[in-house]
Amino acid sequence: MTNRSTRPVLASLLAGALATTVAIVPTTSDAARAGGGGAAANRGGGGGGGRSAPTSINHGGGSTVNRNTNVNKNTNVNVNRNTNVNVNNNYHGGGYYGGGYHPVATGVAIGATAAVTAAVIGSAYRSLPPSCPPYGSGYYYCGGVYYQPQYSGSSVTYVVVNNPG
Amino acid sequence: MNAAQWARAAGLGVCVAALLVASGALATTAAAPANTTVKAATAKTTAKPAARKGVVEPGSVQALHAMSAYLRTIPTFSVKMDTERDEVDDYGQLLTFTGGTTYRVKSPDGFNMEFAEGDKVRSYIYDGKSVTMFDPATGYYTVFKAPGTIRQTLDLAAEKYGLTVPLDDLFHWDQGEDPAKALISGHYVGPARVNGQDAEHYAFRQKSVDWQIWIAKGDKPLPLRVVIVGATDPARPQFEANLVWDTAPQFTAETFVFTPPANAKMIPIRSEGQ
Repeated sequence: MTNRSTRPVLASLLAGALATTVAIVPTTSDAARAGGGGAAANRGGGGGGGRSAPTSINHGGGSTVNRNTNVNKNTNVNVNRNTNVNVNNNYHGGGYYGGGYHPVATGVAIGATAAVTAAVIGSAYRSLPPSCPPYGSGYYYCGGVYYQPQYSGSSVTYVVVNNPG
Repeated sequence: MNAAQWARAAGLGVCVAALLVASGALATTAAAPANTTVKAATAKTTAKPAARKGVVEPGSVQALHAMSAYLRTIPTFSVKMDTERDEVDDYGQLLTFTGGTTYRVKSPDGFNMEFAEGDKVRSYIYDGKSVTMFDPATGYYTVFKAPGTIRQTLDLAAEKYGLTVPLDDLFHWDQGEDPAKALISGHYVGPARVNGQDAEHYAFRQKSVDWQIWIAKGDKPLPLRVVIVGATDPARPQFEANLVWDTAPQFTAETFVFTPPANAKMIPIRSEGQ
């Protein structure tokens, strides 16, 4: 299977999944660094992983609200050998913390650093690929892929988008 | 017997056992609540400590009510919190993150919140119409429309955008929500000092959290320290906050207005279901 021929299919498959969950596509090295599970003992790791202590007694406690435990759907995406796709543990607590440890709370799992070959529209990453310059008004473009910075919860993420024109 | 048959047989066994246990419990305790059952069963063999399970001491509830009644009398306040928050990593190890939070609050329709934990900093500013979230490190900010009160706004932020704030109980207690509504147990631990202030220490249990609170002695019964444990997580991650209050803060019109710095860039925020 080649990336080029499968990408449109993947995009359409993912379009359904994206309604509730955005796929994440950590690079192999990110996944390895993050212990294969996504976040683990590495600040730059992907989303998921950490379970936060509840930070409130009756509202939005980390252990009490867990909206989205589904594994994201694209474990068969054969781009970039990304079988270590995160399980999306979206604990709600501590949503203001951001950063690698903080599990994102809006039903979105997030990869660590964007890998150009794994760019699926809607994928979200914590950082851009190296040397990815700004493009137009508020976008980044490199390797044939356009990224738009977006907040996901309190985390800044870079989301793969169509050519903004 | 093949594997599937074994599995079915084992499952049936468990079901039967569960039914027996359930019917036994029903037979002896009738309609008594579960908590009372625990108390009655353990009271014979052990003395006071176990008997305290399931008991909500009236004095502990009164202390919470006095605190929330006092909070209702201070429509503007500023509170600084030093926080320690545990996360459980993929190997079950607790990792503790230290942070600092400042809330500047003008009821019912203004707040300016600053959060810092590790190298992450965020501010949330609410002016009664919209909320701005700002990350000074990247210069990225986002704005979303908000309802007319702090409490509604925090609910929306959590529901729609996945943004929660620590100890948001403060914003419910000061609106008259009963802090004792979900208690399974509650008792007075004893006198204590927090940051040089005399306080009373209480311990509570709810369905999913164990929590403790240190309430200032005297005519300003403010929460000075709160500890919350995730009781349903086997690793029992803990959050603790020490609070320093200013109940007569000096706010200006700018306190609740976000003025983007020169390098700031507005970006979208994802909402739930997007």
